[in-house]
Amino acid sequence: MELISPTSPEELAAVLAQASAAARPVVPLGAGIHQHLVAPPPPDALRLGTTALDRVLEHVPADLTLTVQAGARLGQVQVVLAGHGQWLPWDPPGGAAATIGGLLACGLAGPLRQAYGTPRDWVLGARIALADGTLVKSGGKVVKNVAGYDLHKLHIGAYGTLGVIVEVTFKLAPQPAAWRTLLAESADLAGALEMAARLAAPPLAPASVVVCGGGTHYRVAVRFSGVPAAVARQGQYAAGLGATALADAAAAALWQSLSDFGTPPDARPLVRLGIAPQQRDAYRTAIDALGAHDGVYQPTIGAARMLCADLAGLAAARAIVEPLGGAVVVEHGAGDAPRWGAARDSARLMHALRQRLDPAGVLNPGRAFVD
Amino acid sequence: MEQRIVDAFRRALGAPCVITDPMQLRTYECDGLTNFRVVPALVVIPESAAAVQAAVRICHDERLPFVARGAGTGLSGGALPVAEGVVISLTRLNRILEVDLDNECIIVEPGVINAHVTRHVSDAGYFYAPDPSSQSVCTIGGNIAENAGGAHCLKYGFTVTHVLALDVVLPDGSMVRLGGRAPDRPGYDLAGVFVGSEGTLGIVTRACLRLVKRPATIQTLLAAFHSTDDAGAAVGAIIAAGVLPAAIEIMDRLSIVAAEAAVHAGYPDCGALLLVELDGPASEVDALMARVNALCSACGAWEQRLAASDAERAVVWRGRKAAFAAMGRISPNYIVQDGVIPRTALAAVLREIHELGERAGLRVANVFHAGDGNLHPLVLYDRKVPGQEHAAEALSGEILRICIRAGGSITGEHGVGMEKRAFMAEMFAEPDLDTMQRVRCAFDPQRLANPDKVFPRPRLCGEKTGPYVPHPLEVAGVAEFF
Ligand SMILES: Cc1cc2nc3c(=O)[nH]c(=O)nc-3n(C[C@H](O)[C@H](O)[C@H](O)COP(=O)(O)OP(=O)(O)OC[C@H]3O[C@@H](n4cnc5c(N)ncnc54)[C@H](O)[C@@H]3O)c2cc1C
Repeated sequence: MELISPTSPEELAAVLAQASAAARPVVPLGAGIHQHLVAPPPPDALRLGTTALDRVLEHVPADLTLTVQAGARLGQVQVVLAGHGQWLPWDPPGGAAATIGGLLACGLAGPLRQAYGTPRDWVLGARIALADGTLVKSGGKVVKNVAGYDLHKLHIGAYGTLGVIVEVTFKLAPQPAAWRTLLAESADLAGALEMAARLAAPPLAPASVVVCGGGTHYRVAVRFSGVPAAVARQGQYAAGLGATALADAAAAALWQSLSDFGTPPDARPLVRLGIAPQQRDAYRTAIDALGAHDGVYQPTIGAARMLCADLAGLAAARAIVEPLGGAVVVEHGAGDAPRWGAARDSARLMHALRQRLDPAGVLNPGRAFVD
Repeated sequence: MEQRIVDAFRRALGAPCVITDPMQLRTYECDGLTNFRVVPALVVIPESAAAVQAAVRICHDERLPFVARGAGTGLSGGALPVAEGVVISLTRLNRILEVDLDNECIIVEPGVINAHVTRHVSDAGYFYAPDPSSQSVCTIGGNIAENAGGAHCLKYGFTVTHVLALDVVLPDGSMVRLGGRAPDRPGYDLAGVFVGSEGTLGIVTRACLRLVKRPATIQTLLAAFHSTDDAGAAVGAIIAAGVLPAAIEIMDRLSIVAAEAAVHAGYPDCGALLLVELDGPASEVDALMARVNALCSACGAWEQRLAASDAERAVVWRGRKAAFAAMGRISPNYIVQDGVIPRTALAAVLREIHELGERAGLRVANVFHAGDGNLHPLVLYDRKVPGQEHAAEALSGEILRICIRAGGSITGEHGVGMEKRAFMAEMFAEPDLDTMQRVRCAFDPQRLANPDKVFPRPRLCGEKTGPYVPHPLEVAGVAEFF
C-alpha cells in the first residue's frame, strides 16, 4: 500500500482533497501501533502518515497549555513537559511510541482516568484536515471558551472517520509532588473487585485502581498522587485495608505494563468491555461469560480489557451488557465475529454526520463502527 | 399563525399548554439581553417529554422555526424568539426523576432550576458543581445549551464535564439518547458537541448529571495588591505551583470602589484585590493555603485576610458578587462584556483596555475569573452625553478584538446567541464556521432549531451590543452577576 507522509498540514490536506476527488480510500496513519483496533483497510487504500508532523508548536508553561502537531509521540511530548514539571495526565496503551493524533482518534485512555478523566477533558481545541482538503480549527487555546460548537470533541474516538487531526491544543497539569503505589492479592476475581471498590471509596481518592490477572491469581494495584502529606496519609489508610507498598521503580514498571496491556496484541482475541460502573453484577457476569485468560480491569470506571481464548462467549456477554447501555468491542482478533456490537440509537445521526463531513466516504471506509 | 396549526398544537398538548394571547406572548419577547426583542407567533409549555416531541413534530411538519426556552436568563439573546415561530418553554418539565448517590448521579428534567439540584442532595453531602451566579433561577436545560460556568468551574469543570447523558428531541421530532455512563462505547461524542450548542441542535428533555461530594473544608483568602499586574502575577504563581483553587477572582480599583459604595464589604483600600478559595480535606487546605499566602506575599500582597467560617466567607464574597450591580453607584450606564484571554496575557490586555478607555474618554472596570482568564470588563458611560453610548459600544466590541488577538475567545460563559454572531467571523475563519454548519445540518437539515443564532449572517452584521440593563432578577436581589 502506498504511503505518503506530508511535512505540512497543507500538504496533507491537499492529498486528502485529491483522494476525495478520486474517491480513493485513505487510511490515516500515526505510528501504526493501533491499526488493529479497526477492520483491515481496503486493498487500494492510500496510507496517509502523520509522523512527519511531529513538532511541538507552542508550549506556554505559565498558561499550562500546549499546542502540538498530531504526529508527535506522546512519550516524547511528556519528556518535553517533564522538563517544566508538567504533564498530560494521560496513560493510554502504547502511549510511549504512539502519536497523539492516533491515540485521540482511537479514544484511548489508561488507568489514570480514575482521577484525571479522559483526553476529552484536556483537549481545548484542534486543527483538522477534512476529507475534502479543507483545514479547519475548532475550540481555542484558552481553558474557558463557549464560542461555537466544540467540534474537536467529535474527532476523539472517531477512528479518523470524520477528518484527520493535524494539530491539538491541550490543557496541562503540574506534575504531582508525590506518588505512592500499593498492591493487594486475591485468589479470585470477586475478591479482587471488592478490594478495588474499597480502595477507591472515601476517604481514599486514588489516581488509579486496577485489577489485573486471571485464573487463580489476581492483583489489585492502587496509586495515589498529590501533596506529599495527603499521599502518605492515603497510603497508610490503604495499607490498613491490606495493601502493601511497592518501591518506586517497580511501581513505574507495573503501571507501564498495565497501561500497555494487550499492546501489541498476540494471537488471542483482545476484548474491551464498558458498562456503567454501578452495574457491578453485570460487569462480573459478562467477564465470566467471556472466559478471559488475562485482563486489566477498572471496575470503578466500568471498563475492562481482556485476552480471551476464543470468542465463544461474545454473544452472551453482549446480551448482558448491551441492554444496560454498555458495549463489548473486539479490539483485535475478531475474525468473522462482529467487532462493534449493536448499533446505538444515535447511529442514524452518526451516519448523517459522517455523510456531511466526508461525503465521498474516503476516510477509513468500512473500518469503524460507522459503516 | 394559521388557526389550523394552532389547533394542531392544542390537540397535541392540551389547550392550557398553548399561548396565543398577545399580552402573554410579549412576556417571552426577550431573555436577559433586553435590547433584542421579538414577539413569537406562539408559545407552548409542554408538560412531558412526549409533549415536547409532539410540539417539535408539528413544527417540523409545518416548517416552523422553534426556540427552546428555559428561565430566559441568557445574556446573549439565545432564547430570543423568531417572529413567525414557536417558543417551546421547558419550565413545566421540572421534575427530579431519580437520585443515585451510590453512583453520584441524578436524573432531571430540563426545567429544573440549577440550585434545586444541589438543594436536593445537599443533606446527603453532595452538590452539583457548575454554579452560574444565576443559579437560583436558571434551568439545567439552559445551562446545557450554554455550557454554563461559574466561579468554581476552575477546579470542577464546566457544565460539559458534569453531563453524563442526555435525551434529546431532534428537530425532526425523533428522540435520541446521547452519551451514557458506560465508558469506551464506540460512537461519536454527540453529547460533547450538543452541550454548548445554544439550542441549535435540538431540545433536551432529560439529563443525567454528575454529583460531587461536598469538600470537608473551605477557606477563602482576600489579598490586597498595589496593582492588577501584581495580583495577576500572584495568580500565575499559584497555578504554576500546582495549586488548583476552587475559585480565584480579581477585582480592580474601580470595581472595589463601586462595591464598597454599594455593600460596604470592608475591603482594603488597594489597587487590586485577589480572592482565592481552596477546598478539600482540612490538612491539605491548610498546607496549600500557607503556600498561597507565601506566593501572594512574594508578589507584593501587603495585606491578607483569611476567612474560614461560613459567615466570614460570605462577607468576603459579598463585595465580589455585588460588583456588577454596584457599577450603578459610579456610572449611570454600563455594558457588561464577556471575553477570555490566556492567563499570561492578563497584564498586557488590561493595559490595552485601559489605554483604549483613555482614548475614548471612558472608564472601564474589571472583574474577572482570573484562574481561567475569563474577563468581565464593564464599560461605564452616560447615555445622556451625546455620542457616549456609541463610543461605549465601540469600545466594548474592541475589547473582544483584543481578546481574539491575544489568542482568546469572544465568550467564556454567556454564549454567542444573537449578540456576538458578527464576532464569530472574526474569531473563526469561513471554513471553520462552514464545518460547524455542516454538523448543524446533520442534526437539523431544515434549520428549524433556533435558526438565527450563533452563526454570523453578513446582512445582519454590525449588531449592537447595547447598554447593560439590570436583569429583573438582579434588581430583585435574586441573582447577582459575577
Ligand atoms: C444576573 C445573571 C447572572 C448570570 N451569571 C452567569 C454565570 O455566572 N455563568 C454563566 O455561565 N451564565 C450566567 N448567566 C447567563 C445565564 O443565566 C446562563 O446562560 C443560563 O445557562 C441560562 O439558563 P436559562 O434557563 O435562563 O436559559 P434561557 O436563557 O432560557 O436559554 C438559553 C439558551 O438555551 C436554550 N435552551 C433552553 N432550554 C433548552 C433545552 N431544554 N434544550 C435545548 N436548548 C435549550 C435556549 O434556546 C437558549 O439558546 C447569568 C445571567 C444573569 C441574568
